[in-house]
Amino acid sequence: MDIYTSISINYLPKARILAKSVKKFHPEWTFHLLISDRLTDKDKSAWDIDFNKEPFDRVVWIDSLDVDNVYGWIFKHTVVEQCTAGKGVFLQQLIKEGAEKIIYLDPDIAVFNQLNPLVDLLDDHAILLTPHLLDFSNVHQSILENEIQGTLRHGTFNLGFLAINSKKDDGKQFADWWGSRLYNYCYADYDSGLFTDQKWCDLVPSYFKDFHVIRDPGYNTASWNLDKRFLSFTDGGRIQINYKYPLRFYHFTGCDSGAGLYMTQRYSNGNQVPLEIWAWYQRQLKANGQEILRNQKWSYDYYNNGVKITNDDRQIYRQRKDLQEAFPNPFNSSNPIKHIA
Amino acid sequence: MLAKWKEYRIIKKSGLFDPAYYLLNNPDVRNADVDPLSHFIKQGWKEGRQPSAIFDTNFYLQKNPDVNHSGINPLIHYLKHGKKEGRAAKQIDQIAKTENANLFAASFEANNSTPIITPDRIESSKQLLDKLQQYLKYNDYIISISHDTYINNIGGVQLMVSSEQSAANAHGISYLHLHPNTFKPTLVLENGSFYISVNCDGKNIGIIDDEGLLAALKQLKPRKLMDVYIHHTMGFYLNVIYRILNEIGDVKGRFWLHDNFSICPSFYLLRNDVEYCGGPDIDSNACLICRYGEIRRKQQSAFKEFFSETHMEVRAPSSFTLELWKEKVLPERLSGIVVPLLELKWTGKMLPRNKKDPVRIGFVGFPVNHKGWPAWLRLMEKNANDERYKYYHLSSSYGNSDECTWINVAVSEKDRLAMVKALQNNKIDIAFLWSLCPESFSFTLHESLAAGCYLITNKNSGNIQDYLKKNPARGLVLDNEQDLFKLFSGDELISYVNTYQKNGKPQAELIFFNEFEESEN
Repeated sequence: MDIYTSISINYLPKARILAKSVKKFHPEWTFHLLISDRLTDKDKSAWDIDFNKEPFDRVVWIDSLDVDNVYGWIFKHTVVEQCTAGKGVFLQQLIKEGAEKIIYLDPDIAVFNQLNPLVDLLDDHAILLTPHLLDFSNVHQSILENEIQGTLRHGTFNLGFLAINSKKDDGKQFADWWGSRLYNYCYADYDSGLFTDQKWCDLVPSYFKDFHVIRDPGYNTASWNLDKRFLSFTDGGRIQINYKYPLRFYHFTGCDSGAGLYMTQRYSNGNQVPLEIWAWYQRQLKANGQEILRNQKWSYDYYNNGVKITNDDRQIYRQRKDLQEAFPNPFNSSNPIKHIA
Repeated sequence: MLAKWKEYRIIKKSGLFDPAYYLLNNPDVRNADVDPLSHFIKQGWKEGRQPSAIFDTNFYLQKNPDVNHSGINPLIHYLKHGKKEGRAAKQIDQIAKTENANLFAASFEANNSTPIITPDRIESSKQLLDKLQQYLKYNDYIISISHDTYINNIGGVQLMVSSEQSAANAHGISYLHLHPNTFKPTLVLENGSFYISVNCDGKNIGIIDDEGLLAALKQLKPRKLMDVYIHHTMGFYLNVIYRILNEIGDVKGRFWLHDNFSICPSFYLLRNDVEYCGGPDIDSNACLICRYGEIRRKQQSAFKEFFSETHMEVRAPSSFTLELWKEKVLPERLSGIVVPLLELKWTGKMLPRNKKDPVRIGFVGFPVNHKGWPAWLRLMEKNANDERYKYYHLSSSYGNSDECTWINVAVSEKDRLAMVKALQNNKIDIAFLWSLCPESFSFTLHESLAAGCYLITNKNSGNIQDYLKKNPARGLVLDNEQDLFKLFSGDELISYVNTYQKNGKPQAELIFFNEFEESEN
């Protein structure tokens, strides 16, 4: 089993927590970390990063991926878009390398119990997806926040989780289709109906037959579905959802902004357990370098001469083929976009 | 400057001091069993402790340097001036968070070691030896170990240690009591400068490091060590106890289970101080997300080593506690026995209640979360208009509720029957003993029974529910709060109470356990 996540360096504390939580239950799985960022040796020593001691089996840098004009591609994206776009391309690379069953998890996820049922499900299905919501609520606030502003806007499925079996036809085809879309159209562009990698997967039920929607609420529990998922403990101390399903993994969406905790408080209806889990996650972040790393700037937000890349620069470069051809590595230029435009 | 009693009155009246919140967030205060508001006024605010979820001591001092410089208790300043002047009691966006996520033992997290007392330091083992020879009254002596000084603090364990000393002395045996000099809510796990405070027959003679203590004890001749009684190991370095057992005299030792500290440093077995967890497997989700989890793992291995290398007799005040301990700790080499701290001797009957009067229900003990105080408040709120019931709170600590009549009761070594008398005098019919975590023994259980009360408890209350399962006529064990509310809305409860008192309210005497009487018999 291969499992991976995708980050910029400020998300390293989260990726550490995720990888450790996966390894606790599945030490034999291979954990790949894709980093869309650049790091000098000085950064590494200042921020206490030693990839020989990190809990990842393999670290892959975005500019080492085998894609056309990698720096031009990166330049088109904001940090969130780029980390997301890398998911599809890296999935294709893992398949090329021979990986069969592959799981993607967002870095702000932590695993709480073993994920073996996924291994079995991938024997029967090519693609596994988790919807944001499994049950509807008729409470206005939940309709507004979780359906209208959440799922209908950002996609039915939450792509914090994805699993495929590349040896099945639909698994391989999905990876090629999705990877290609993410290479070309992984933008948070609501006006165009896009939201990075997620909205694309609304098309999965149309294009592919061999997919499976995981309806077990123990997967991908998060603030947006908490009003329909009650967390409690068994006598043996296992966290369970709705008194029945073991909590497999929890998604700490909105952790850095504080919105996640706020929404969790709102939707936990007085239940302390989700708040205890959040408190644990915040302690883990602290123990994994969050205070130093959370505020590190994204290196691809700057030209190589240190000038900040503006949103306009990206937009123009994204749209103008001539610029893309003239400046295959726009980072090397000294603010070239403004000069030409 | 206001006199302390005046400050006490102002704060108490304001409702901005929540004793339950204060005790929950300050395990050292909880453990010392002192009045929480007095503690806050005397030292708590200076140590940056929060009086309630509504007022933030540190925030107020930071935002108001004038108050900070004045040396005035910030809560007093807020109540007298700040409120009128529009100063904020705390940062607004913190309020929502505090209500939930911050209900944790912050001082545990910080793992602070605070000195309990600062007596004279004893510089050498020779000096200690001289003092021991001077102050130990008798030739035979017992070493007793617990987490704090029983001389200044009053609580269940301290009372027992105190009585044990009196009984030993009465039988011509000296009582050498040792406790850690600094408060630490966990075991001491590493060898370092570990200082022990030494009491001889009730007199503190100073502090000394572990090596100095052991060297002096080895030379304490011709005195004879009779036994070692371990009442609590919080804040102690187990290796020192191990060495006392092995290097000083040929004794077996007794290990008392007054609570579940040898299962988990969260000795009420409350995960994150929020909910009873039962001490599950250390690799469980519960221990993973619990603030006590990591230190529990370390303590578990320290205790395992300690128990596997000693031959102590394990004494539990109830079979419930012993069985729980066996299940969780299980050192096969050790034998365990149940020794109740007191027994009931049923005597006669008191007059039953007047059926025309409301049934009187009492919350017995400290108004804190783990004793079920929030459930009590909800119960009173739900039945506020039901005239069949009248509510009382019997404790030395005021619970800040107008729904019930507070009866100030302080049990002490001199007045051990204070609670029984108060329950009888106020004609309490039902004792509400809603502990959310297992009571290892529960004095209040026995006091309530002795005073003729019918009991209501829940399934997690340890020895209380265990007693009622064996004696179902004396009270009810309920599954949860819903069942409690249902019980109060129906008519059954009153008829149960009437049945219990049918031939008069049963009365009992409390016969306290006496180690030395027992050995003579």
